[in-house]
Amino acid sequence: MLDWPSIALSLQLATVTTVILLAVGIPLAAWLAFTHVRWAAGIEAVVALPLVLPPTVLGYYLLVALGNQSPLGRWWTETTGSPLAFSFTGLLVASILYSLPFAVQPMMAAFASVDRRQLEASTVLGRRWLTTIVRVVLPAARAGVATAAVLTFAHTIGEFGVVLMVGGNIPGVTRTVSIDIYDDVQAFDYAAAGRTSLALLAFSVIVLVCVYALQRRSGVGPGRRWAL
Amino acid sequence: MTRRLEAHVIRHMVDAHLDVSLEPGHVTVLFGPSGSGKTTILRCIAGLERTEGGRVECAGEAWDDGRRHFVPPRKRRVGLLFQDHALFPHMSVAANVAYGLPRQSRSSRVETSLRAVHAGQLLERRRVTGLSGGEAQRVALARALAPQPRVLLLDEPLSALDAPTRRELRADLRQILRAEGIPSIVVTHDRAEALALGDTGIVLIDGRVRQTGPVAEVFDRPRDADVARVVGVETALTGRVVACEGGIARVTVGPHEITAVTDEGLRAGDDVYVCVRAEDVSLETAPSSGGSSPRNHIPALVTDVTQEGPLVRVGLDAGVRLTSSITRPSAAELGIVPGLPVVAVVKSTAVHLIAR
Repeated sequence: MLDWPSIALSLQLATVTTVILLAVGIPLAAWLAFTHVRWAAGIEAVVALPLVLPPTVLGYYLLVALGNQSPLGRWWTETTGSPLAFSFTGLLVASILYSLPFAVQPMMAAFASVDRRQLEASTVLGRRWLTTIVRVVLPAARAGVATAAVLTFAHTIGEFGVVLMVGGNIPGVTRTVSIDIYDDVQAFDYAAAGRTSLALLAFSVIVLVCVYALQRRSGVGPGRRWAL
Repeated sequence: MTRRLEAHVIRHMVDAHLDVSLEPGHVTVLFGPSGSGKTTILRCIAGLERTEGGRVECAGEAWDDGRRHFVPPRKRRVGLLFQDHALFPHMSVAANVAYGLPRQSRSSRVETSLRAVHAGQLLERRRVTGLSGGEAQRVALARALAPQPRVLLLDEPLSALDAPTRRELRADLRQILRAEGIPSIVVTHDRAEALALGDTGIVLIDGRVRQTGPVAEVFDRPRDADVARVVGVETALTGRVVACEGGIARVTVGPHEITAVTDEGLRAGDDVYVCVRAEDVSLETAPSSGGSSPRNHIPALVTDVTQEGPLVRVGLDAGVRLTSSITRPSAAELGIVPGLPVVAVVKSTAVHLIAR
């Protein structure tokens, strides 16, 4: 049998992370794609950091930042009455930071490839920057936004190191499906680990097929060569 | 309030001072070879680029003082037509045209604008991806005209189209710009386009304004050799079509009537520019006995003679001004000197008519 509470928790975490990351990532990606300021390169590097950092390093810093020894952790505990570390909210914060590049980078690439003259046409026609983003850039880059959403969701489902560091392993609270596999192996329950792993493998394949199909349709992928 | 747009554009290699009329329907042509800075100037006027220490002023209102003061493009109320339309591909024709309009005036203005550019039939909510090049450019023009801009900027508006469509839209464009009464600035490197569309011509070479004046004068009387090289060595005379049948037009030019081969679809009464390259004007000292293939024999007086290497450029007064370019030996043989009566001979196929 699959561990349904863990799967439900993973799905919940991935959904909330994706929604928040789209809300935060769209303006951030738009700013990064179109700004002329030099220090944007620095922001871009910070966004990309989770791609290269070992999850344990990111997890360590998050644990320190969210823990009760930190001002943020103390403030959170005083305000809400419960600690941030080893809670679903703490896990959510970690997931958002960890998946940030998977949301921002595809959208940034898609925004940057929108024909500049269409943006210029929009501003010359009297429209504000925000209107231009909403009415011209987002529709033109919708495949990029969809790719970002799918990748974020999938990446959150699959994360392990950060979750273990920040969330620990509390059933129903922070025990996600990837932790569940680790637990099963630790308990020598290879059959359970195998079932869950197979489910995750199938899920990942489906997600990747979706992503590449989206990219082909939008003309980003290699299919474009044949379509021409 | 002055009805002029003044721009001193300094940017990259460009350092050009323009003073453009904003009288309703007035069309200024910015003419020059590619790389001469035409588009940069247009973009600075639109506010898509800043001048570097220059100045842009529209009807007395400062748009860009080259330093701090800068009115963003969305507040300038200019219309901009790109070379390849830059329509929003995910919107319908009507939504594209409505894009720059306030909500309340949308439906009526969309229809008026599309009709004004002779594209009323595209009103049904067709996607823009299915449009032909000419149709797309008409829709883009309607989109630029719909908010009734103070000035319309057209960046090589016809150059992305195939030749027949270009000719058709060129004739329409002039009529549309006049009818809408919005002053326009057209950037082009095509002399037929410049002559067909423009009232005033500004010649730009290497980022500098080299000649400004009525468009026919600029093309007919280039100020110096550089400008002549850029505008081409063609005489551009104004004329009127008397008759046009089977691709052969008879046109009055000053006191003369000449014939020309044309595919412009002209009708009797149309005003045209009559363009003849100096190399295509040969000279005779006595009228030939007829029976020659060139149809046009125009009596004239030699006004001036200029040596140009192996060639001699001969200025002629035939009631209108003509220029002939002949070889030195021919000039010597004919004894060409100012004051000599001659006959200018031009083949009908060498006369190029441009509707105006």
